[in-house]
Amino acid sequence: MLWGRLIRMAMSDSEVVGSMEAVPVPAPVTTGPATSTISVDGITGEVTVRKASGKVKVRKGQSKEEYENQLHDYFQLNGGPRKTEEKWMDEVDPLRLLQEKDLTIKLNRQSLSNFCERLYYQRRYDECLTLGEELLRRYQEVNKKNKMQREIEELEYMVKRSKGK
Amino acid sequence: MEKGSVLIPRPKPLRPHNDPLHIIKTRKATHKRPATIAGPMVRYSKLPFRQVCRQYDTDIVYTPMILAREFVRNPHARLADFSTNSSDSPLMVQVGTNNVMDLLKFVEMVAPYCDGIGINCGCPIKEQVREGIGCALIYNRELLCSMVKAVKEKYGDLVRLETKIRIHEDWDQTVKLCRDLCSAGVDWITIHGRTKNTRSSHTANFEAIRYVVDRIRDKQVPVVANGDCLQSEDVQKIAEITGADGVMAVRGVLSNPALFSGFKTCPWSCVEWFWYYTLEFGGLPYQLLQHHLYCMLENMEVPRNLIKELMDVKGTAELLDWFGDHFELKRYGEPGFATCVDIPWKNQ
Ligand SMILES: Cc1cc2nc3c(=O)[nH]c(=O)nc-3n(C[C@H](O)[C@H](O)[C@H](O)COP(=O)(O)O)c2cc1C
Repeated sequence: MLWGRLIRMAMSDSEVVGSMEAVPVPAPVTTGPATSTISVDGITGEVTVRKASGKVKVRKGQSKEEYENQLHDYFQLNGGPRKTEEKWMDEVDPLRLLQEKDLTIKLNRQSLSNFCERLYYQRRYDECLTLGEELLRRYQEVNKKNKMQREIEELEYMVKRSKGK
Repeated sequence: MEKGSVLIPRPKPLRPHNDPLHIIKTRKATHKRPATIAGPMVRYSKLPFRQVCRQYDTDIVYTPMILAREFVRNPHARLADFSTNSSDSPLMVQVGTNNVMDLLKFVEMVAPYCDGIGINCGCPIKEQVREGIGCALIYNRELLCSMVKAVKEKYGDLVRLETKIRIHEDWDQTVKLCRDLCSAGVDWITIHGRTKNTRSSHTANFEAIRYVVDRIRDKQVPVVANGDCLQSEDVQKIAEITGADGVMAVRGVLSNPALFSGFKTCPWSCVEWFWYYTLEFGGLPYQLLQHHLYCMLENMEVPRNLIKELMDVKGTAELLDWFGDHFELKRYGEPGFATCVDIPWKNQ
């Protein structure tokens, strides 16, 4: 089935519910699915997969400290998952983002280009043109080996069309 | 509770309007229809699509399957796999996992931001099954039940937990699995009426779902029927044949997000909502945007040559202009936005 192949291509109130430590740690379980055998270390969550071919793969567990670091990153630093309300982009100045963000990271560039696309959708062509030209200038500075060609073409398209609208 | 120095928020409170179990149990009495559910699709069930479904009488919407292992270990995976907002509710987050520890951590991390968590026990893909994830779990009854039990023992009614399974060749095995899941405390079970090896081109087996429903009735745990809900009239039909309390559509809503509102084909308004939400929330990878629009336009029977043109367009802004060249595409806030059912051809 196609969809699976795509897989990796792809409050406020504080907690009173128990923590991981409150849970009885299960004994290592050995299970027997049709094609392989997996066993799980009940403390670290390390998973050993024994394939039908005899090959063994170990999926590393996670120590308490490692998990706590993740909790810190997720809850404390980021306040949970990314939340995008309607109009959230009105509250953010993309030119400021442009100063702060590392443009060699694709995700950062993508979110900046999204501002331009939204302006284009909203028919705010003057603003789209201004932002698009600035993004183009900055993207070109970091465009090594022409890796960002598609992104640049997309911006060029919006700039060109915004001029004509 | 303090975790080191980290404050962990409580699970999101469940009230009648957002408690998926309450919704599933009461829709037949209150709305004279089964609960309507847009099921999980890897890649596709992202926030903009979920919000479109909610415009059209979809009671509960799923995220794509998220791998617990990655989510609890990797900030990049979290960013890529899950984003939400305050109107993204009732929301089920679906998880792919093969062990209790990762599952408990995952639940701890997502329960404050969703209305329930579903374990994927249906994914038939070799790469996942080999790892004991997805469909492998229906052949590992003890492991699956231990996962359900661990979550329910820790959270009780504070967190809703569902399992989405496939049927076995031997239906009695499915009955046994479901009965054990009920004893472990699962809140409801979604049954996809296909076995691990049934192709999606082969029809789903509603008799098998009925067989299970009849044999777990004493447990009073609702069942949601999944498979081949492709048209609006299928909703009642599937509920009647299977005796299920809810019906989950997946490919059907991908092509026609308004399926549960009774639209025979995708209304134009879905396209306008989808454009709006996609750009409003901060975009989707271009291929994904294009594929969604392709599915909707194909469902509306837009001529093949035009669909082919759409697939040749290379970027978001260009695609917007392509829509503008052929159709009257209304933007959010413009008079008549998202009110049109038929295709508003330009120059007609
Ligand atoms: C593109 C696509 C992605 C899917 N991703 C998931 C998934 O992430 N989790 C899951 O449990 N099932 C997944 N499925 C299976 C569906 O949820 C559903 O069980 C199946 O498509 C049958 O329902 P349908 O006939 O209404 O499409 C996916 C199916 C499709 C077509």
